[in-house]
Formats: sequence, C-alpha cells, structure tokens
Amino acid sequence: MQLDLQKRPLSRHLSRHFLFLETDACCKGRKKGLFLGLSAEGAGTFGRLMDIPPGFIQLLPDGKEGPDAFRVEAEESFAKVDCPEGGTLCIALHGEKSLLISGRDCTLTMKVRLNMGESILETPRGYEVIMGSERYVISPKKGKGSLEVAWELENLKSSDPVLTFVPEDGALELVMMDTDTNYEVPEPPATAADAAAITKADFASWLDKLVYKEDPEAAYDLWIGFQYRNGQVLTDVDRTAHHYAKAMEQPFAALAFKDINCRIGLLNALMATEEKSGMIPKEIYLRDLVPEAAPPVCGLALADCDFAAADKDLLEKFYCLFSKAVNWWFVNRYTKAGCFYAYIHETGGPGKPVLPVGRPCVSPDLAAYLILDCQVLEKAGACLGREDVSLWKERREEMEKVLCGLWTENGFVSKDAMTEDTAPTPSPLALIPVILGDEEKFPFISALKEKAAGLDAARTDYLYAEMLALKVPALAAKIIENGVEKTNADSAAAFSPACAGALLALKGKEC
Amino acid sequence: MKAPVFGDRAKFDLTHAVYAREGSAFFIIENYYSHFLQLSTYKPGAWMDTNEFVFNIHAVKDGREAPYSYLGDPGALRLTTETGVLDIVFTYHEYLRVYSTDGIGLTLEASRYRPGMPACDCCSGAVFLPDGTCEISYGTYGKFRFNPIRGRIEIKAELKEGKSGYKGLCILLLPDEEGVLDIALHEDMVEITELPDKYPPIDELKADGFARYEQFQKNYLKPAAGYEELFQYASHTTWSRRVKPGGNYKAPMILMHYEYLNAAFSWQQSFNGMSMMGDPEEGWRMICAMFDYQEEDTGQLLGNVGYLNANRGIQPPIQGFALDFLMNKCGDSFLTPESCEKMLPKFEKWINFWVTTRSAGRGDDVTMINSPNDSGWDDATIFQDGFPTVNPDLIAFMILLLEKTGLLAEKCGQKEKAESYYARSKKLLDTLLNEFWDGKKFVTFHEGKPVNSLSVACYQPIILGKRLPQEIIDKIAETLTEEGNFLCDIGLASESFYSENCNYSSRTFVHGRVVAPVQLFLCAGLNLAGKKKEAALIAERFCDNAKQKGCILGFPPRIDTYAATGKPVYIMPGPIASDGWPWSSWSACSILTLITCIIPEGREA
Repeated sequence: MQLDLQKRPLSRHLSRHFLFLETDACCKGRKKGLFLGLSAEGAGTFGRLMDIPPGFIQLLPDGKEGPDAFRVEAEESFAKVDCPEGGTLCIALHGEKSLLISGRDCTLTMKVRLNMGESILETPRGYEVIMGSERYVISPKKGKGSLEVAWELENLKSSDPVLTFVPEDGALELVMMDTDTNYEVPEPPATAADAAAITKADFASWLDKLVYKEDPEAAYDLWIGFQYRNGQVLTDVDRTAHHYAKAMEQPFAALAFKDINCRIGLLNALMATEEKSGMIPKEIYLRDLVPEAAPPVCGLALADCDFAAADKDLLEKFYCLFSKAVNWWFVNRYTKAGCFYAYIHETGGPGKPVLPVGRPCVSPDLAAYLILDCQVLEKAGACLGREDVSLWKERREEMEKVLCGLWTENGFVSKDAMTEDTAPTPSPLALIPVILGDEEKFPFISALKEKAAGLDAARTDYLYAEMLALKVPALAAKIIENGVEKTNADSAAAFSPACAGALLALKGKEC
Repeated sequence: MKAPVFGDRAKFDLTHAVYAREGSAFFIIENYYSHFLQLSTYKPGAWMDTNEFVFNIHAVKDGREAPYSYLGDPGALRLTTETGVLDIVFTYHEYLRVYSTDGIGLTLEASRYRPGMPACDCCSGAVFLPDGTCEISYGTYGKFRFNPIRGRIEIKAELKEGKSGYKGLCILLLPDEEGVLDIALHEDMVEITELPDKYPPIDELKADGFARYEQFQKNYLKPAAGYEELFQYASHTTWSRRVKPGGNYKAPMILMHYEYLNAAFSWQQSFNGMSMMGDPEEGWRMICAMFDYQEEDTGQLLGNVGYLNANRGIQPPIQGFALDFLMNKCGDSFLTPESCEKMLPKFEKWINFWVTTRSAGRGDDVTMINSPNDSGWDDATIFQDGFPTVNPDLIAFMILLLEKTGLLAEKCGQKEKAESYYARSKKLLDTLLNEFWDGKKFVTFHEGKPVNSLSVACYQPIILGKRLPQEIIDKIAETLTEEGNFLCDIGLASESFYSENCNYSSRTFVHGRVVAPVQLFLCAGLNLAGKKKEAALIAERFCDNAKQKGCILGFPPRIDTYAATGKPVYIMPGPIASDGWPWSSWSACSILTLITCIIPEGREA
C-alpha cells in the first residue's frame, strides 16, 4: 500500500513514533521537511508547523532541510529517502518502541526540539533525550555521531541539539528507542529492511481480524490509531494532531472487528477508565481523564452480536463494567420523565442546547442508546445466567415508553426533565433512534430511515452519519463512495481511526 | 486570638497574597488589573495567568452591583457594602459557604486573570438538577455545585454565535424574601455525588478556622521580639497552604503556592519540617513526607506532588540537612526506634539513587549532575560553563544524608551499618575539603575545570556547620557579611554585586535576587558553625524587608543599576509567575526558621 507522508504518517500499532513530510502545499509559511515525532499530549501537531515544535526531530538527509532536496516514498511498513548526494535511507518501525534507519552513502543530521526541562546527553547507549522519566535513545550501530548543544543559563534550558551521523564504510545504521529509565526494549533486527518485513507481516495478520480487509487505507488508519491511553489500548482521535482517545469513538472502532471478543476487549479497555460511580470519561489522555460523561453508545458495537461466541471471562468482566456504566445514567441523570442530558457535551457532539440554558434534557437519541445498552445487558446477562437481568428488561421497557412519548407527527421532541416543556430535537440527534432497527415495535423508524437516506453525509458529523448508515443502506452507499479521508484544504489531512473502523463495518455489511 | 488579616484597606491585600485556609481547595485573590476578587481552586494545577477556572466575585443588592471592600481572617472573608455584609467562609470540607442576612447577594462571573482572554472556553455548561442544586462543569478543571440552603440560584449564560460553547456565564446567588442568603458551594474534580443532609452553623465553621490556625502555630517556637506580626503572617501563609489527605496526597503536605506551582515540592517539605522546632515530631513527619512517593525500583523521590499529578523531576537531597538542623535545636528524642527502622531503608534507597544515577564515576560518593534542578540552584552562575558539573553544594547535602542515615541505623541497633555510613560521610567530607575549597570559596567543576563563578552557591557547604575547619568557617562568615559583596540592605544576594553576571530581572531566580531559601541555608549554616551573630545580622535584614513586603520568595536587591556594570535594572511591572510576585510558603517557612531560631539565638550570643 502506497503511503503519502504528506497525508498519513508512517507509524504502526501501539507505536508513538510517527514520521511525516511537510511541504506547505498551501503556502501557509509552514516549516518544510521530514519530521519525526512521538505522540503525546503537548507534542507538536502534524502539518501545522511554523517552526519545529517541541517533541519533534527534523531529519536532514545530507544536511538538507528539503523537502525539495530529496525524494521520499513510503508504504505501510517503511519509508525510503533518495538523498541529495545520491545515497539512500530506509526508515522502518520495529514493535512499539523502536525506529530503525539504514543508510547507504548518506549523512544524516537531526535537529531536535526539546521541551522545557528536557536535555540531551551522550552516554554509552548513544544519545539520550531526557524527558522526565522518559528517555529517547538514538544509538548509532554503524557510523559515527556528533552532538552540538549548549546550556542557556538564563533560559534554564539546553539549546536545541543538533546530531550529525556520518557513515562508516558507506553504511549508517541507527536505532531510535522510545523508552524510560528501565531501558527495556526488545532487541531490534539488524536493519530497517528487516524491521519493515516484520511490520508488513504484522499488519497483514492484523487485517485478518477485520470484518472487511479490502480497504488497506482505512485498515491502516485504524491500525496505527491504537495507542496506550491511561494504561489501556484505545484508538486516538487521530494520529496527526489529537493525541487522545474519545470514549464515544471506541465502539465505532470496535465495529471493525469480526470477533465479538475483540469488540468486547476494546469496550472493556474503555470501561476500565470509568470513575468509581460508573461514569465513563469522555476523553482519555496518556495520564489524564476528562471527567465528563460521554453518550452511552457502547451497546452499538454489540447489538447484532452472538453472545454465545463470547469468552465467558471477558463477558463477565464486560457485564460488571457495563452494568455500572449504564446504571450511572439511571442514578445521576434520571427523573420520572426519563434519563436526561445535563450538558450539551453529553450528547457527544457540538451544537446548541435544545432547551433554554441550564435545563436538563430528555432526548430521543439518549433513550435509543439506553434501549440498545439495556438490550445488550439483557443478552449478556442471560448468557451468563445473571439474576439481575430483569432489571435491564424493566429499564429497557421504561426507556422505550419514554422514546415513544417523545415522537410527534412532526418528528421527535426533547423534553425538560423537570418541567416537561418540549422543543424540537435537531438533526441528526432526532434520527438516531433508527439504530434500534425494529420497525414493528417502533413504527416511526421507517420515517426516520427515509430522512436519513436523504442526509448529506459530507456535511454531517461523520460518526453520526456512519451510525445511521449501519441501518440505512442508501446512506451507507454514499459514505462508502466518499471514502474515509477528510482531506482539509491545506497540506495536512485529518483522519479518524474510529471513522475508518465504522467504514470497514459498513463495507463489511455491504459484502 | 491575634490573627493576620488581609484586606484592601489593611497592611496586606490579596494582590500578592491569597485568601485560603488549611484543608480547603478554594482560594481568592484580588485581580491586579480589575481589582475584583476572584475565586478558583488549586486542584487542577493551573497557573493563574492561563487558568480558565476563575470567577469574578460581585456583590449585588436589589439587582444592582454593590461595591465592596474586603477583609479576611482565618474564619471568613467579609465583603462590606454600603448596606450590609456578606461572608465567604472556607471550611475543612469540600465546600465553602456564602452567607448574608443583609439582603446581599453574590454573582460569580466566569472570567480570566489577564484582561482580554476568553472567559468560558473550558466551560462545559451549567445545569439545574432535580435535587434543587445547580452545577457547572469545567472539564479537567472540575465542577462546582451550588446548594441553596436559604436563597435561590439563577444562571445567566451567553452562548457563542455560530459556534458551540459559552461566551459568558454568571451564577447568581440571591437571598430569600427575608434577605437571608446561605449557599454551600461544593467542589470536586470528578463528580459531586453526595451532599450533606445538614450543614454546620456558620459561626462554628468560622471558629474552626481560628482553632486550626491556632493549633498549627504550636509547631513553632516563639518569634524574636519585633517579629510577632511577621510570625502571624508567615505561620498563616504556611497553614493556609497545608493540604489534607485526598487526591494524590496521602498525608498533610504544604503547597508552595495556590496561583502558580500549586503542588507540594519535595525539598520544601524538608524546609517546612526543619522550621517546626515547636513540635519536632511533626517536623520529622514533614521531612519524611516525600518518602511516601519514593519509587520502589530506583529509590527516587518525586520532584513534586499535585492533587492530580506527580512530577518525576528531581529535587536535591536535603533531608539529612533538615534533620541535622532539627536535631541540633530539639535533641533527638523524636527519633523513635520504630521510625528509624521504618525510614532507614528509604534513606538508603535515596542515597543509592544519587550515587548510582548521579555518580561522577570516581568509585566514591562524589556526584555529578546534568541539570540545575538536581542542585536547586536553577540559574546560578556555577552552571555558566554548561554540564555536567560536580557541585560542592550537592556534595554537602550528601555528606549530611550519609551521616544521618548512619544515625538512623545506629538508633535501630544496626551498628555496623551505622559505622559504614559514618565512614562514607567522613570520607566525602575529606574529599570536599581537599578538592573543592580553593582558599576562598567552594568551587564547582565542569569537565575537570573550576567554574569561575561569583555565586553565593559557592558558600552553601556552610550548612555542614562545625564539621568544617574553623578557618573555612571564618572565611565564609567574613565573605557573607562583607557589605556590598553579597550582603545588602535586605539580605544576601544570590550573585555577588562585584559580578558582571549579576542579574535580577523579572524571570531570574538565583542569578542575583535576594531569595528566602538562600538566606535560610546560609544563616542556618552560620548558626550551626557558631557564627550566630553573623547569622542573625543577615536574617534580620531579610526579615525586616519581609515585614514590609510580605512572604514573597525573592526580591531584587536594587532597582536602579547593576553595581558591577552600571547597566540599568529592568523589573517588569505587574504580576508574574515568578519569585517576585506571589506569597509563598517556601518564603514563609524560611522566615519562620529565621525569626524563631536564628535571630533569637543571635541576640543571645
């Protein structure tokens, strides 16, 4: 699979490394060149560089900044640079921690941008960037390195270091390791080409887990999207600028997997971050959580699954965590009018409040999510022989009554949870109940399907569009035709691993 | 009891100091630009100039703004308007109370510290909940929940045009028909899931503030005559930054600030501990506090601990010095065999961290560092030649840490181990004296060459007291009391006035400024070395300035020109997240050591 490093970084599953090319195609004065970064909060943003932000290394083949001075080609497992003076570099990732560079007849200069409090030392391991408890080690296996750096006394920081590596007998071999003070990194292979072969094989084997394998770009977006966040493996918002995971996006990524256990595994990872009360935080960072509720969409990922195929231990864990998560809504967001959103962000999307500011809002999309969640708990609970399954049946039936009570001849309304005043629910939230699918039980679904089929997918929040498309084939066809890439007007492309996952699910359904 | 007050018409207002109290996350400051009082909490760890969780405090009467003056004591912060008063009462719980019987209401208006910055970008919204309360949510900054005991709440919110989010937000706390307002404002970083069924009476909460402050003062000896008021302010500054267990805090610790660097810093806990000569058990507990966060595998102590996050940076190993000082003043009866047995392995691991990860590679205990944070002398000229360096100041800390670890071993019956640590300490002392004293000062080395520095850091090994030869003690005392070298009207400058590198502009730390912990090190060292009068002389100069200016961490020694070069001094006006602006517990605890021990002993000598 060809990779355009201007649009997608070279990276791999669970690796923080990402390599990209900035060409400033839209003439916004961005610094051009080949850059290597590590995904972390506060690290620089892809394609928005005015100067090298902290946490980045600019790679200068034969000392040239480029990118016009050299040519870069990439596939999903490596990047190859044709250097200005005729030599070549091959760059590939190995596992979660290492990046290898193999060069022939080429020098390589690295301009490192340090964050406040960071420094670089020459040690027996090579050159170590000291980043708190983290260490970034650049180790020349073949070739000779030199370091230029000075201490800026009054700025309390090092000047930005410059490393230069010259080949030995024409050969340059560098290993770059993302590690910590334990320095425990699996032994990398001898060359970048060897590392690339391993990565290629890893990606191919990962493809086998998916419901649809024939869209390698979408699969790659999803594959590299998985990162460690707060000790769990979750998918980031994207690998270019937003180095954090959104709770709402995980079920969409889960839909890409054919095995129910892979889906449950990802949902369990998400719910491992839940607060003591059961609230799932809407955003999950490396070491931080945003303690505000995300909409309860996890049921979407399992609604059509056969629970008999689930691993019992995984399912048991899922049941405990998910019960708590769904229960949170019935304890903290409940009146006799129904479960409500307290804040607009709890809907999962941007937008204006439906009711006057400060009013708690009973909304049809929330009712639909909770119906689906209760259905999943009923099925899972039945599979496990749980006695409390009847609770989820009661709650599902209650939410179904609430939902039907919100339907009017003009469409859905939302209701003030205390005063029961109503206001029309805006699209696309008003269409969400289509995910319930059962037209016999919910006659309004056919009308919703018709409206959803006519939705302009390009102008609708992609996740909502994909959610609706799961039950609306005409909409699914439009989304599949558009593809997953949301190319911005400038040189950077923001893409969403979760959207890629949902697209794969839609394509899998269409097959 | 006598207690310090902060008010817009008092000696100290809240532009540099904050209104806060032990055990409460809230703090109030007076905005330098608008002069509004502003409310926030320390838990998110945000710095004031970028903090998005800030609320202007407006008093209102009959729907109109009521201008107020304010006065705060350990019990409450009182707003006085033309027609009545309103009290804001901080408590030891996760709430404050807003109380008035004069028909005065309060509006909290979402704001920022610096003018012109957007007020509500992090505001996720405000909502009325079925239990009658009102909640606002601010993402990772936390939540406020308003519980109307008497009175009512209104929300006024302005939404952004064309985009989601808020442009403005006000929460109005309004009295009932009888003119009574009593609102409990709860805070939490995650969720407020339970509210008390009943709240204590306001007077009980106010009395609690005074009682806890009075109890806290017992940690200290009495101040020297003439420093009684400074004692109140310094002890209050420390007390009000004392956090209770919760979040990352396993036991009470002391924050450095509320408005910047709002965390408990590693070595500052020891500074606080050594000042508590009125209760050495508590002092010893403070010295040991950071060991609760010691890394099992490396032995490293964390650099600082915030409510949410802990920072793995390094701070110097001053625990031996702090314990040495405390024992010198209070004896060692507080070191029970049980506590020695508990702390011995922790101290050993801490030593091991330094001698392995910071080894100079000589096969002995001499350390070598690559960052100024390891020594604490941030921008001192001892680092002007770059890194790595071998520092006598750090070696002095290691000498005392080794010796005191030997003492811990001795006190729990491990004699052989004790002897081993004593021997290492003695050997390191010999190395310090033989290799690092050049006849006039202690010298830092970079790549084998001495750094030509006129930093006062060169004299920090005076903390070794009488372990140093008399001629070295005499020389250091002579240098530090020479007028116009380091000594000036307000204490010891951190770089000699003879130095062309002397710089005390706004964002410097120990490049020339007169800084509280530097006074503490050098005065404590001179005192321990028997130079009590000299120590008191320096201490009085610093503390006399603090009496006028408050418990601020660092001061420029002069604001006209630099003595060595004649160049003008530029001190940036207005608030700055640096030593020169906010009151700090680090300054306060240094002052407490100076006024309760160094100055009185100097006067008696």
